[in-house]
Amino acid sequence: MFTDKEKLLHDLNGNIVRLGSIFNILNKIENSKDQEISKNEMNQMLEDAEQTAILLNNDIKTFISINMNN
Amino acid sequence: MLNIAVIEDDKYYRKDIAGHLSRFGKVDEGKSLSDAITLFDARKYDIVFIDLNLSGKMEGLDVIKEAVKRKIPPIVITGYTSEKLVSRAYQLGCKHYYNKLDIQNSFEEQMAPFLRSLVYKQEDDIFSNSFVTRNNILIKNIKLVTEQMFLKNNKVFITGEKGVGKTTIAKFIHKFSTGSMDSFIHVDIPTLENNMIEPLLFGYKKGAFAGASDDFKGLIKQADKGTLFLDEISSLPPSLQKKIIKVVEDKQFYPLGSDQLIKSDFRFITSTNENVEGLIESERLRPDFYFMAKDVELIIPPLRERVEDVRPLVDHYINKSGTSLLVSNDSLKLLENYRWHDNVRELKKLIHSFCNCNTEMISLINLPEHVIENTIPSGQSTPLASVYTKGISNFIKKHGLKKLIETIEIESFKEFYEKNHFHYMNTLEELHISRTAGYRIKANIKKLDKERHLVH
Repeated sequence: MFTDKEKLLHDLNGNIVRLGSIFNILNKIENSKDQEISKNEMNQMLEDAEQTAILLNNDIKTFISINMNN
Repeated sequence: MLNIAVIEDDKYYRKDIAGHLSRFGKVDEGKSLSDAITLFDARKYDIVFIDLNLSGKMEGLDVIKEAVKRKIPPIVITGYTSEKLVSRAYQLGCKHYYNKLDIQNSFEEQMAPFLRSLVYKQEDDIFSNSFVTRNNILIKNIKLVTEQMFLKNNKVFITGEKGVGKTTIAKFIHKFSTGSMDSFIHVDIPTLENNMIEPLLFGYKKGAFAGASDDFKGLIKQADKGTLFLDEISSLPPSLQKKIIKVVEDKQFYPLGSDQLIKSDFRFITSTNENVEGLIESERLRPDFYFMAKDVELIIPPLRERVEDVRPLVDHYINKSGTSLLVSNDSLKLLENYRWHDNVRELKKLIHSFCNCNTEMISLINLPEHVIENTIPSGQSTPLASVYTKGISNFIKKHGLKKLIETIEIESFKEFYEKNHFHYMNTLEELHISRTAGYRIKANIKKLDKERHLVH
């Protein structure tokens, strides 16, 4: 249904959004006394953020290489 | 407020957007088609936000179909912007199509105005479908209180004379801030026997006291996730007011005869028809209870100060009775200017009395005399003035001189008594009358009130 480029753009978009969401959630915790987070949850977020950053890095590399070849 | 569902597989984006959406209503989250179906079957949603790609599959399109089947407007939030997919989503019934990144970067510009318009529409629908009031200031205050209750879980203290519609408004606040599917527990305290208030509120274990033949889940527990409305709080003994403060703050309590801690998280509304300062002075209302229960205070004006509500209320009760009773314009004008001592409750009784006796039309001829005599003419402030505007000789012709003197005495007394903050001796002094004359006039007022009640 989708071309490779469409899939790639979707992944790129998804990973940017995911990182942005993690940042927003951390920001809310920082700014609000009501929001709490356990150490485990925090570690999980950190791991997910690292993983997402790696994926995003790869997506960007692929995106640039496709565009350069074109 | 809105009932919102978010179907999104990315837990971080889901949590992020749910945080934004929670300003506009109650948000439930799901991550798959099956989660969506479970949610849709459990609650009537006003709107659902759907990601198209759920865990690598295009299940979002099926979620749109399920939402449309249940008449829930679906909004797509996705990273896909292919034209084919957009048109497919619209074909299936999607109402709006947003890019996730746009929403994340500019929720306030992209999404907030749309959601706000839905909330306003919902408010208007509720106000026009179930009659609450046409008084703009009261509508504004109710909306404000509801929003405070929803967003900050604020406790609401309602004051207003007997019969002004405190319960109706409490129900409305509940419906609008928690959703009609959550429980609304109305405790009309004066109707309960004093020794039964605590067991009914807190619940009890079998054998906790003589007559406790079974376990009973108290009303506080029954209000869990919903609203607890304690009506006429001054009838609640101060010792119990102290206990309630603890329950509202801790959200947990022990039922009578039980050592098991019960949790209950509820929204809290209280009301009184009496003067709060007087209640505190007479120690019928604990000041610490009042300050705990009054995050926001809603004052409901008496019906005589909400003239715009009289006609719609007359229509409302006639429609409810199922009769085709007509009301002459003169009568309506008179009803708008009547004092309504018992407020909406009195109006309801009056309309019911006409509906029950098969009258075809309410007119000046068949309106009860006390309604005509206690009508404040427009632009005038007291019933005494109506005696003058109708003409003294007309009044004497109809009722006699004795009645005129009695009316003047009664209305003057009432006016000065109110002006003197119900201080009896000051009233006598200002009226230049003796104690005996004062007692005689008071006795006449009592007699008149009694007659009015008999008429009702």
